[in-house]
Amino acid sequence: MQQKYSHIFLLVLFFITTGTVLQAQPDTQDSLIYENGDKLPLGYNRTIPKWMVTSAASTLSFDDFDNSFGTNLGNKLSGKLAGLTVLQKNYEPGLDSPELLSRGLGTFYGAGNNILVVVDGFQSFYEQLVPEEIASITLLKDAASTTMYGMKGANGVLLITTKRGKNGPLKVNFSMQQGFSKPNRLPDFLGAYDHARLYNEALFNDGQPIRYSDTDLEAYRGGSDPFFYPDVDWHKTLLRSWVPVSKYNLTLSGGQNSTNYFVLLSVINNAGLYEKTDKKSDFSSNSTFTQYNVRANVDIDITKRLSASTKLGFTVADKKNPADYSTDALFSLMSTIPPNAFPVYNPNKTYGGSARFSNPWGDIIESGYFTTNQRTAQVSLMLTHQLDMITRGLSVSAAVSFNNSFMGYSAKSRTYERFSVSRGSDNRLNYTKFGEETALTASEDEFNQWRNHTVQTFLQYNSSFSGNIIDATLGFDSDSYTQQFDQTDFKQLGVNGRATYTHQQKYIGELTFGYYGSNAFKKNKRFGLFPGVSLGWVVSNEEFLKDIRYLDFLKLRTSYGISGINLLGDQRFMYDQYYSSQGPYIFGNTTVQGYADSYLANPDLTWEKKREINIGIDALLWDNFDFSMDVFNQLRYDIMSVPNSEIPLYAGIVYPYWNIGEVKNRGFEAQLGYKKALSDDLTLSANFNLWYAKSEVTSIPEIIKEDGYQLQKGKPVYQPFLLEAIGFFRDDEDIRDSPLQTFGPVQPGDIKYKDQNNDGVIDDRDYYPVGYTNIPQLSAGITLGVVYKNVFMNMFIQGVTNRSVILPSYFHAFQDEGKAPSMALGRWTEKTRDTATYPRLSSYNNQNNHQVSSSFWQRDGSFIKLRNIELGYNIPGSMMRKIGLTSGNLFVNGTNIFTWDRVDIADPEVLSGYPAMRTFSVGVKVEL
Amino acid sequence: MRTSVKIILAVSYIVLSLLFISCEDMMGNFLEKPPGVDVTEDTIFATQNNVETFIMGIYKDGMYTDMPEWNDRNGKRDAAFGCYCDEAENVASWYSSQRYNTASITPQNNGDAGRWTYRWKAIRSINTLLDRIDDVPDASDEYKKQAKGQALFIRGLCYFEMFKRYGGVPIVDKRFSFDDPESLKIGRATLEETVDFIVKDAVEAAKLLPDKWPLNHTGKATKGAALMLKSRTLLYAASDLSNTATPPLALQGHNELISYGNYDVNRWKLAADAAKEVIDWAPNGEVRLIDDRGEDKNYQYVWSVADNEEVIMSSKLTGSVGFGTNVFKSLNNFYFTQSGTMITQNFVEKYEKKDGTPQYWDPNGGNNLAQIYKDLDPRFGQSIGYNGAYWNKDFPVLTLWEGAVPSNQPPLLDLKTGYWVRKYVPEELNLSTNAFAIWTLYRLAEAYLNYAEALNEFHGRPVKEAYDAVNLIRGRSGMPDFPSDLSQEEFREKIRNERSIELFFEEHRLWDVMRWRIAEEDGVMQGGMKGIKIYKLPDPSSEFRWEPYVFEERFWKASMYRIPFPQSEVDKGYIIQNSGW
Repeated sequence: MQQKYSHIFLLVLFFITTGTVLQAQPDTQDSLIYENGDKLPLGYNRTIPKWMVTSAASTLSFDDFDNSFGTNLGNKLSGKLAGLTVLQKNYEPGLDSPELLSRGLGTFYGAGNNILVVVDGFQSFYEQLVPEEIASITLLKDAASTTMYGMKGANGVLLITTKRGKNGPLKVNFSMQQGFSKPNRLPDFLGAYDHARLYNEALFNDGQPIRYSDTDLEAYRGGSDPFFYPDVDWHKTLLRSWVPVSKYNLTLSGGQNSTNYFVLLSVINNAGLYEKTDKKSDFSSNSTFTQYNVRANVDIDITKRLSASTKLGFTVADKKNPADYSTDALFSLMSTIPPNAFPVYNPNKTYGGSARFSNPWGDIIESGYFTTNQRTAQVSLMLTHQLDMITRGLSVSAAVSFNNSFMGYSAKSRTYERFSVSRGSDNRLNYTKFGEETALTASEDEFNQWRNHTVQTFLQYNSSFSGNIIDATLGFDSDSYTQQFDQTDFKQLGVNGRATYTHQQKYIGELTFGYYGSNAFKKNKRFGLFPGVSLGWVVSNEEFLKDIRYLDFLKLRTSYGISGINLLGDQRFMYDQYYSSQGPYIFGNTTVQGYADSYLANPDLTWEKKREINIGIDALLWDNFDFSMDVFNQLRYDIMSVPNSEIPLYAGIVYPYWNIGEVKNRGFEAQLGYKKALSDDLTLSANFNLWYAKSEVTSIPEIIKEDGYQLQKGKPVYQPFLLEAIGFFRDDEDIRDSPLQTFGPVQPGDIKYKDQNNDGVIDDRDYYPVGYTNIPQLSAGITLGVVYKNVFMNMFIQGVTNRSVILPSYFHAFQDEGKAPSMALGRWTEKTRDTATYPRLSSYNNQNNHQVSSSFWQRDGSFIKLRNIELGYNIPGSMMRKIGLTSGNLFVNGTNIFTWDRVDIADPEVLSGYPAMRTFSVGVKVEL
Repeated sequence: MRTSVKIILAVSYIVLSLLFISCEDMMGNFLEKPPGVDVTEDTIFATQNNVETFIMGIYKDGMYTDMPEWNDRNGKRDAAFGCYCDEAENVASWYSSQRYNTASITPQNNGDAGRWTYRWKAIRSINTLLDRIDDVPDASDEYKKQAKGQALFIRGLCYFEMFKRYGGVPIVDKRFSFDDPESLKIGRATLEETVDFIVKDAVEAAKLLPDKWPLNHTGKATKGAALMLKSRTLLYAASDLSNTATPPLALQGHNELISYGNYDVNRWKLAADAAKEVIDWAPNGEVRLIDDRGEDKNYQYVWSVADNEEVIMSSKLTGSVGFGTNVFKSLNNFYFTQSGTMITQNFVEKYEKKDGTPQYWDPNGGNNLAQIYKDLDPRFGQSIGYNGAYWNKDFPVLTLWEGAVPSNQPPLLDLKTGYWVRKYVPEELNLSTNAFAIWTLYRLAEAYLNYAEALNEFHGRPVKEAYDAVNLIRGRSGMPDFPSDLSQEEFREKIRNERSIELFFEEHRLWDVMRWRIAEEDGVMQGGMKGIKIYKLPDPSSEFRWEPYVFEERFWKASMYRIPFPQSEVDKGYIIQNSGW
């Protein structure tokens, strides 16, 4: 402890010295320049004026959010921040967490590319937040700006700042929005007649006797016997076409004397996509999601020098689903059951079913329901003390934060009877039962929990004198976080600092560092230094450019830094070799857990690092055009990888991770904004951004293969390797003349693959790099706004390209006893051999066409989406004042209305499971 | 200004460097890993109890003698084996066995890659144990001896499993040091060296292991198991596939990796002696042929009663499990309809009549199916689920005729051959009841068959001891003795048939047809595989009409006699791939 105090003493000494030396004549003009203008948060409680920023960051403020409808904050960022890729993988409310990537893919290590999200200074959940409680969101992109985050920063840092009250009278804002969501595209399957017809064809192709006679086919076509010749569209049966959704927000903010406050209450509600299930049975529920947010941010000046800032955010998210935690299983079932498998209800009103499939309708009506309750609390307190008495501009702060998230579930489940019906010889109906009718059983437990606590202290200093400005901070940071089932907390500890210096508002220099340790590594190899430097030159302030009138502002900047990342997943403590349980073996009647060594130790294991150089330009032209651009070149090195592909398996042990991988990643971001009031009545605004990132694996442990194209080295991270489909076999002669395909017997109409190495055999060696990953290399976003008198309109369009997707399993006709998609109508037959768009059908699991990964099932994943369009009316103030309100507006909003893409048959972002949704809503906002 | 900057820099430097140096000391404990339940090598070898768990781990990784149904399948053992050869066919199209049936295995998909990993893991653990066992402070000498014996036995077993699949494989008898990556590059040993290594481990293990374990240790390797390992290894080594100068497909310049390089009749002598050693040892281990349950029940007793007196060793990888688990789902189509094992007509035709003569199966079928079944070797009914047979309580009479109602339900759903397997399906297994998965590794009957086969080959004619051995096995199931005047070839044919019947579904047939080099013969691993269609004759007849038909054409290629090493392993450059891959 003694030692700790001595350090604090040393630190104070450092600031006093610095302060005293610099405490020349403070310049009021400089102070003004420093205090005014837009400020940008740069992490660890620091904001600096935008003109002083020399690293790469993009930012979004509350005003930039539109009224688009969604339950997850992450997805609202899609396309909004230059450099931030938002991968939405699911649309199911409550499970729609996206993956966030900064500057594309920087590493191939499994645990990843995920960005660090910091809410009000502390690592935290963010997805539950609503735009109404957010002041700004900033993405720190280059290495220099993230060094202060030590081993957490290399994947980029997203800083979210919540709103605070401003001095002034109470302001009450209320908004409500009501709307309807509708599935964007549902999978399209063949009806019973086509299904039966094509299934016969598939059997015929396989040399099997056909299953459906002409009479059967006629019966399917006529559709007159819905029990023995059913034709069920399960999606239509289970899903309603519109889901009511709504949200309400109430915020109170203001402040007087020594206290400022911001309070928010918010509710989001989704009434569920299923056809009124709750009315049909006591054992059911719709798939609903309700989220309540409460926030109270209070800033108090306790004394003249001492101030406190508390932030309390609390979220309750309740999700209810029939049968299961998520809708995944049900959507997959609906996409598999053949339309003629069985009717929804049998003639005697029992549920239809078979040995292979349960009845989706029965599943949601009869099998109980699953409720999950998530409670998230974000609590932080920061005390700041001005140390004016030591030197002007010096302050010290201490902050603690507790973030908790807990999810529990309560499930009521039961099984129910289904029957398959057949007609006996005497025309009597025979029912065969599947499943048993049981009573509801309940289970309740915790599902997941997450908690962290952080302690931070800062010394901060800023001063301006004779044309110089200094802004410096030195911090201490300790962080401990635990997820459920982690036996040991993830812990980090370190110091960080930044010093920014400007001279004559022309020259800017900044040094940053982080010195951090993590408990994942061996003692004495735990700490690392992450330095960064950046420089800026405000050219427009130079004399020689003063005369160029259209040039309002021009800054050139560059940065260089080394940041780190220690997202290790489960691979912590690899510096020691552990033996783990291998599962049971049985002697006598005793079951014993066997032990074996799980992997070899690597005592030298260290964190992954990123070295990055960034060059940027910021400009303001003709007063209205705001332009900025960044070009970056980054190198990831020491990526943890296992050289298993080089070590023979007869070594008998799993090799540990080694720091041997390297990835280069290059790209740019550009942003152009325009805003002008053309007349008193008309204001136009537009914002365009474009970004690009392309990675290249430069070192990865892999076997040197004869066929060089199979190397991952030299290719982008996660490059897919597929067999290249080059059409269908025309006839037996074609098969004879073509290279031998080894995935199963082939016949005319089967997919033909390219022999990449010309060895006359198509096998695993012919997998070839084809297409892109599902993470776009190029993204663009356009926001347009028009205000004419009281009417306003705005829209947001996002586009991405250099992206590929793979069609999911339900596009594979009749595989795994499933059904056939509409695209199977384009199948190969002898007659259509010249025009076929789908391989010949097969009734069994066809290896050659459906089981191997081939480019036939890959699609261009580029898309342009109209994410948001909105038309509104600002109610004139005079009218509002008559009813006691200050201002207000009405609007209609459409979210995800149009998609232009090349996939066509499914949403290009979410191809299976809960469908992508579009939402139409109307809303009103008023201010008191 | 310049002075002030210097001062700032100096002070900063001092402060920061002090901070950096001592940050760890200052708050060092914060980042220490708290004491936990971590187990390291020293923990393992600290007490005998811990060593015991390590030995369990060796069994767990080392006892995989099967072919997996699909790549690794969670490392669990299953019963799909018969489908790899002419014994059976699986309903599921995605089993690895289907790729053997169509001769479409490749180095990428031979299905054994998962087992390859497990075996080497076991071998590493064994080498670790042999290295460290003497350090255990509280273990008795007796315990250490037995631990070494078990380790050596399983190492031998792992090598035997690789020998029969691949031929010669790398011999790893110590732990690798990763400081010396060159030490990994050892390459394949010759087939002869591999066989000698297995025999050496088996002989050594037999010296160390007890004849019998106390009841609560049943399942551990005994002396008898080690002797059986030696017997089986030497039998395989003496057989045509290895004991030859001309392997089915030459491995250019490296034939010694897949064969002995010459024929030596004395190898049969070694095999015969090793088998005799097991038979002579049996009374010491209280092991005997089951012959007191009745001629029509002895056989079923042997496969259905866990650890009965005939069993020398059985695998205990799986405990009591349900119908849908890997072990049972490949066997039955009754409860888990996506797979199921169907016995081929080709195999059923191997069953002799009760009088010892072959059963006549008319190529055009007939109206006498029930009568045919009645005449067959009693072991037929104890192995096969045929039309009219008892299967279990839920299916007391199997109705496998066309049109049996309802035909889309088990047991007719998907049935192609007219037979389901019955052997190894526990009586108590059903939708709600789990059952213990019995899987015999060695039983005494095999030693008699090994003995008879080896004697016939060594002496060039069936000697009396050979007759005695095989007649003992037949007699206890009510089958008459072999005719006494057989030539070497006739006896060979008959002993091979006897072996396929007696050891049906015990993971022998595929390897037997390979070591005999008869896999390419029509109806074995190649050509039309037959099933029968069964039709009920109108009442009052209780007979059934049967019509044979080919349900599947199978393929074979000579390269499959030595299966391919996983391609990913060959790509690393240390291992010479077998020929034809």
